[in-house]
Amino acid sequence: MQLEEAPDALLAARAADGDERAFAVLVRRHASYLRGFAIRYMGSSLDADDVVQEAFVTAWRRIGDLRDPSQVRSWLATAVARRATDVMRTRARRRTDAIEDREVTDRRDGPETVVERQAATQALGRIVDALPADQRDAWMLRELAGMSYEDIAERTDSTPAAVRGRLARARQTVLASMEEWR
Amino acid sequence: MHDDGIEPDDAETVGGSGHTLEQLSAYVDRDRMPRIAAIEEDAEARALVESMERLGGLARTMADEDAAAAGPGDDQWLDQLLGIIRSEVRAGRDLPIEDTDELTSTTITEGALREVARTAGDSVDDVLVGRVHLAEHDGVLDVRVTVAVRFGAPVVPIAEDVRTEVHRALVSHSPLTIGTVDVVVDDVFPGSAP
Repeated sequence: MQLEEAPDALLAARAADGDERAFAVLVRRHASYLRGFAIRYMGSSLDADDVVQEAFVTAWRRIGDLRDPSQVRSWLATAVARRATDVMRTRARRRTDAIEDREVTDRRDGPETVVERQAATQALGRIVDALPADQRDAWMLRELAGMSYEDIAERTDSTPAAVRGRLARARQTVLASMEEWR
Repeated sequence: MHDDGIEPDDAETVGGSGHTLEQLSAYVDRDRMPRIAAIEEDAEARALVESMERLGGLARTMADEDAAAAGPGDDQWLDQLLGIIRSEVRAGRDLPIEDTDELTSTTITEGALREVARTAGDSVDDVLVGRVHLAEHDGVLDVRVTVAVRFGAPVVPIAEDVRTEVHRALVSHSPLTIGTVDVVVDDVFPGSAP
């Protein structure tokens, strides 16, 4: 049996017992997603490597606190969001178009499907970036990182009720801007 | 998540559902559970719920594209991270090993014994060890390992093999007498036998 085949929950359980090889498998499995999220959320690739690395180190120290090991990806995304919000608070927001300019080389679908899908996700990215900052943050933490209202509220110095309102307004705006998705 | 947040009196409800957009949005985040008939049976409210779900699907596609564009990080980044992880190995407490003379003292850590148990359990086909619980009392070490078994593999003989291998390995590595070795199958993972 290869550790690479193991489900997240088992790897997280072993990591909590101090198995660094199991944790390394989790790192390799989720690094792309977390880096992609960090770049999107921070609007810049400049700090993403540091933020994701620090989030993984913190996760390794605290993995014993993870209550539901099958939720490890969302838990890691929350750790990344924590570091990212800390970094963003201490610096003026720098925005780049790093992600939008990049080519996505996913060849599972035909070229037309990929282009159509990219057009839709790029439109979505632009609309979300144009949202008020509190709505944008709530939307990304919920839709991309899969965080709960409570976790989002904690990260944004807010309340779950306020997060709920921001998410609804964000979705309303996005839907109004993307007719074909209504 | 709260569905019963206080709504302003003038908040508009969607269609004939009696629910506001905000309530519909929270309903989507609860995966439409438990089912609310007033929403599901109103065409306009349901269409809005389904639009928000499609939007969530597009967001997941965006996250996948971002992941593909970002990549797993270069080797240097990964090596540096794994180096930090290895340097912070949590060994657990020390267990004394009976010494052959008075000048030396030898210990083995709980972490090392867990590794011994994991390696022994993993050596059995179609199984991977999860947690290893060690409980010491009066010089006797009781062990409980949780394992995941490949779907379709025979659970009982595998659990018995794991018990035998873990016991054998710990007897030769542990300074303590090995008491019970319990094997708990708590997960099944997909995949065909090699």
